[in-house]
Amino acid sequence: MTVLLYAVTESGASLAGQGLDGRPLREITDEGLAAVVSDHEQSPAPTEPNLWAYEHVVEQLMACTPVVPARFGATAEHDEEVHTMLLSRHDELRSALDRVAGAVEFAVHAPTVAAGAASTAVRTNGTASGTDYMLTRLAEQRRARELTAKIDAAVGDVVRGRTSLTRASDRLAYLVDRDDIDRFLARLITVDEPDITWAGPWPPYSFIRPGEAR
Amino acid sequence: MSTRVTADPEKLEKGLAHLVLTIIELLRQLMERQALHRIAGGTLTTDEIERLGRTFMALAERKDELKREFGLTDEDLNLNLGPLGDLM
Repeated sequence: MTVLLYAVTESGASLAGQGLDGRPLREITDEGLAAVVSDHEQSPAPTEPNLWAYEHVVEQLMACTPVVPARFGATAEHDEEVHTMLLSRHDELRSALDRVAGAVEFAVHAPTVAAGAASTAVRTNGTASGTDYMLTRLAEQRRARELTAKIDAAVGDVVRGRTSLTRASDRLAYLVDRDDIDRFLARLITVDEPDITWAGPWPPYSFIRPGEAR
Repeated sequence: MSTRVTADPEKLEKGLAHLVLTIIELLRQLMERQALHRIAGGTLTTDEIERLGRTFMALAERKDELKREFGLTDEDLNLNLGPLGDLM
């Protein structure tokens, strides 16, 4: 049997919906925390439909209680492993729950910068010099910084936290109080950059570790 | 949470390539950041900028080749360090 983990919540929260493949959700509780899981014959494959279904389950949970979301693929062979995880990471999970309570994540993407599109074009055209490449990289880096500063200036005082997604400086994640979502989006629209896109609200995947809500 | 070790040779090879490429990418980014900082500060000669640019272009090309060979993406070239966050 495989135990699939969706999120960690306060114990006693009501669980909405079903798990992947219609499996019932259940709680494994320890020390006031609850891991929300479902049981499967084997680990669900990381297919697109499964990823979206998993996301849907976490979002349903998020709608009724603060959650520290797990990443797809967090599985255990039996409940004991989950108990061990809850106990060994209790303080970290507890403070993460406090940090993200009442908030959601928005991802903001400015694809024209920092992705290295211009420098990649320079590099692959075959005739560019090393100097061309470095100056293009420098311009990309500056542009990324300017744009990030512009977005931060627009939304900075209505967000609870901000971080970069993975290592791409043009992919930002903001932690936004549910009550401030409309204000956040209204501010984002004022940023005069046509290529900025955003997605959300998502569960606060990027803010579950200390230091990420800054 | 699972602690099982996968001993599939193909997966091991890809895992090793993943790790090596991640370290190379980390070093490349650190060196490039330093180089760009020095260009912006005006402390490199035109010859040095040219040489560095050619080196970084060659590194980027080699990295792309290896990524293709092992079926890796840019997003793969990172390591989750648990409570410390991502490597890059």
